Formats: sequence, structure tokens, C-alpha cells
Amino acid sequence: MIEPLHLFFINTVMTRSDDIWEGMVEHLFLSFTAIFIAIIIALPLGIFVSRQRKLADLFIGITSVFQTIPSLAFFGFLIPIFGTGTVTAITALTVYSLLPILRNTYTGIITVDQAVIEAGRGMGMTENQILTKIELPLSLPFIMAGIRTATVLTVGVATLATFVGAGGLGELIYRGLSTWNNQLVLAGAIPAAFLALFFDFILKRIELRATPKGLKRQ
Amino acid sequence: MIRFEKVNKTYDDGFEAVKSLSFEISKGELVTFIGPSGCGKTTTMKMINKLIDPTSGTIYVDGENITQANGVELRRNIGYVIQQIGLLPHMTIAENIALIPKLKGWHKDRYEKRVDELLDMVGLEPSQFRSKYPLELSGGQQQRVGVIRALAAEPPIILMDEPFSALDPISREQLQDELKEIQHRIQKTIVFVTHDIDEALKLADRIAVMKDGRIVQFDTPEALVTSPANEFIRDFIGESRLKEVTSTIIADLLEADTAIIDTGGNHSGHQMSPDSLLFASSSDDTYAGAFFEGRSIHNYPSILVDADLKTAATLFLDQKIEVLPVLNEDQLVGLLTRDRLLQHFAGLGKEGARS
Repeated sequence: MIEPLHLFFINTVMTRSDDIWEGMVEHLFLSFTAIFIAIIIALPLGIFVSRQRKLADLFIGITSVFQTIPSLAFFGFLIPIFGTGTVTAITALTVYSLLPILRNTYTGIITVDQAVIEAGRGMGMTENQILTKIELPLSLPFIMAGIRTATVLTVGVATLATFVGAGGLGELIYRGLSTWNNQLVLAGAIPAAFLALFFDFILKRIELRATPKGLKRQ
Repeated sequence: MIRFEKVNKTYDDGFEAVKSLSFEISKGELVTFIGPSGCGKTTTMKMINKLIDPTSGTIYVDGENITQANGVELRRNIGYVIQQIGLLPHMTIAENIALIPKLKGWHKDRYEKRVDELLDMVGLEPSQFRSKYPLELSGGQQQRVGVIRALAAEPPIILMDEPFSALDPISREQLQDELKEIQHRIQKTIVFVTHDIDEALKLADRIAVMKDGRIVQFDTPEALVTSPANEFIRDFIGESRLKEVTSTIIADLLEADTAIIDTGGNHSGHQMSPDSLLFASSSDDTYAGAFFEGRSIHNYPSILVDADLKTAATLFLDQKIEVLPVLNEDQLVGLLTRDRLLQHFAGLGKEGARS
């Protein structure tokens, strides 16, 4: 008697649990390191271009160009520079995360009601106080939405890290594909999809909490 | 308190917003700046708290030349109210009001007490409104908070940029009344920009009417409506609000009950009583002069209907006469008596004087 497919799958998960666990940890490490670096770059850059609006198109344009390069190709481009391994993967993922965070930070700040800023300046707030007490709190939901988009995107794209030898859940998928083992493919793909959905959910929560109380009733 | 000396402002695009402006505002005065859009009123206001720097000239605030002053420090001592209100939507009403006191390092007890005191002043129950957010309030309530926020740190000067023009007419009236009352109590120096002449006439101690970057007239509301400097001011104030001492009033004061008599020889005349002077008109209605007992009186004065009352009063005083013939070009339109003019100046109506 042929065993039902789902039993095969459970079997695969059981026997490969160490691999899956390892892949997941690597996957999370790659994704979050990349997101973290991207935030450190894109958030201040977003604030900067909101002050120098003539430069905004240039910077957002550059990050958009990176985003349009097919991910696999981009990993490939980086190999001659960084070789294979974690550094290459994190670099590529970071570059991918820049656009959503940069664009949302910029948009969030420039769409803050100018009247509020004018009132703040007119009352004697310094430029720093205007940024920290008005612009950032009011654009926080936008910024969080950008980070959420970047996270979901990165967790997805990180499955390709295996092609530059950086591991992650992609490795299970790749191995499964090359050995015609669909169960193995799923053992990599399902956790990857789950991670993306999970972080989307969690960050959506954080985003809602980041919305200033006074704005929720709009 | 605020003094401008030959202040010019030319924007980068070459637009001259303010041209050689000099004026002085004393302590405790509420001055409105009014004029058509682009006249420079808002630019003038924003130069007082250095939101805009003048191209040339000097501005003194409280005796100090503000060219060298730190803009942030200066602005913390000048209240600021804008048309779009601009409350910080992520902060409660209490936090909004306490913002500047906090930045100035006030103690919690002090600014909390101040918040309640100010909310009370504009009739917003503190326990109810303190912890609300701006968007939960109506437009009128929001701008009340906008006004008291400007008062919070007890600045001697407050700038208001069309603060009530975005409100509905009823709220606008209420806030104007409240401002008037508050000002009566606290006597701040207030610079109030508006495009609404009724608002300016209602609130101002003095009104500066601006046009093309210059002040055309800077006067009390009374002076503005009784003696507008020129046609522009007259148009701006609007015919219905003017109380100019002009022809219309001479026409109003003409004696209604003069006897019009036919003197024969194609003449007719106006006479106050049978034994008094007769003012005659020819058959073509042109004025023929004053007569007494049939004899013409040479050089008897007359006045044109569009002359002002001052001229009439001067004639009565200089010439020691009782009656003046009033002419419209060369036609006799009626008689003006010294008594009637006196009644008018004394503020007595016709009836009041007669009884």
C-alpha cells in the first residue's frame, strides 16, 4: 500500500528536523541582519532626503534600480566582488530592503501636515525638536509599514541565499529540486512561507501600535 | 514694544513683499494688519518672530534689535496662532498646551496648573478636555486650544495669522468675542492678520491697511471709517461701513420745512420764516442769491451739498450767520441751519432737539 502524501511529508520533516531548524536559523539570521543594516542606512537617509528634497528622486531612483534587478542575477553580480558566502547574501538582501524603508520614511515625513510643523516652528521648537517630537512620531506608521514590506520581501528573497552558499531554508528547497524530492522542497518552502506570514502579522501589529493614539479615530 | 524701521523684504524670486515699512506698536495694543492678498501683511507678521528675515531695515522687539537674536529663543517668547490651527495630533490637549512651557523647563506642577487655568478661561472644562486628542474636538474648540496654547508660556506678544477665518461664522463670532474679552483681561501686545474688515474693526485698537507692501493708513477703527485716507481705503472698508462726514450727511440735514414761495418774475425761493432771508432761484433753477426785504445781499455765503460738515461749521462760525443755502453745482437744493448742525454734532436727533 502506498502511504498518503502527507505522511511522506511528516516523515521528511521528522527525519530532516535538524536541517530544517538549521536552515530556519540561518534564514532568520540572514534576513534580520540585512533588515537591521537596511534600517540603519535607509532611515537616516530618508530623513536626510526629506530635508534635501532635490536629492530625494536621485536616492530613491538608485534604490529602485537595484530593486528591478532580478534577485538571482543580483546575487550573481556580487560574487565577483565578495565571493560566495554570508557577506554576499547579506549585502544583496540589504540592498533589496533599502527601497521600501527609504521611500516610506521619506513619504511619511513629507506628508506630515505642514500646518503642524509651522505651528511648531512658530512656537519656538528647534529643527531637531520638530523632527523628534512632530515628524518622526507622525510618520512612524509609514516607517513601520516600510520595514514590514522590507521584512516580508527579504524573508522571501533569502531563499535564494543558498545559491551563493549562504544556506537558509533555500538550501532544502534547492536540494529537494535537484533530487526530485518534492517533500524536501516543501520542507523548505513551507517554513519560509510561514516565516514571511508570521513576520507580516507581527509587524502589522507593531505598526498599529505605532500609530499615535490621537490619529486612530480619523 | 514692536518697532519697524525702513524694513524691506524681497523674496528670492524678486517679489517685493514689503517696501520700506516703518511703524511702531505699543505695549498692550491689539493691532490688525489687513489688505488684499499679496499686500505683505503675513510677511510683516512673520518678520516679527523671525520666521522670515527682512532683506534690509531693522526690527525692534521690546527695545532689542532682533537681527542678531536667536530665532528659537525669540519665538518662545512670542505666542503664535495660525489659520490651520496646527495642534499636534498625536498629543493630548494638555500636552499641546504644555508644550512650550515644558520646553522652557517649567515644573510639572506649574504647567499643569497653567493648562487648567487656560482651559477654564476659554470655557473648556479641564477634567473633560485635558486628555482628549485634537481630532476629537470641533474646529472652534480646536482653535480655542490654539489660542490658549499661544498664551501658555505667558509671552508678552502674540501673533495671530488669520486665526478665525477657517471657522464657521458662529464659532468665528464667538472666538472674536472671547478674544476681545481675554485681551481686556490680559492686555497682551497682539498682532492680528486678517482679510476680514469687520473682524478688524471689531477687534483692533489700531488697524494697518496694507497695499503692495506698504501701509496705506494706520489708524483707529473710528478714524478709518470717518476719515479714510483715500479711495482705496474707502473701497476696502466698503460704503456701508463708512461713517464719513460727507455730502450725504449735509443732504440729510437739510431743513425739510422751509417754505417754498413764488416771488413773481419767474423766481421762486426758499425761506425759513416770512420775515427772514429769502434764497431765490431763477426760472431755470439756478441759484440767484440771498434777499432780505426784496434787496439782494451781496456775497452771502453758500455751500455745496458734497462739502463736509467741517466746512459748514466753519462758515457758520466765521460769518456769524444762521442759515446756509446748499447748492448742487449751481442749483439750490435746500437750506442748512446752524441749529440743525449743532443738533447733529451734539448727537441729538431732530425729534430730540425739538421736544
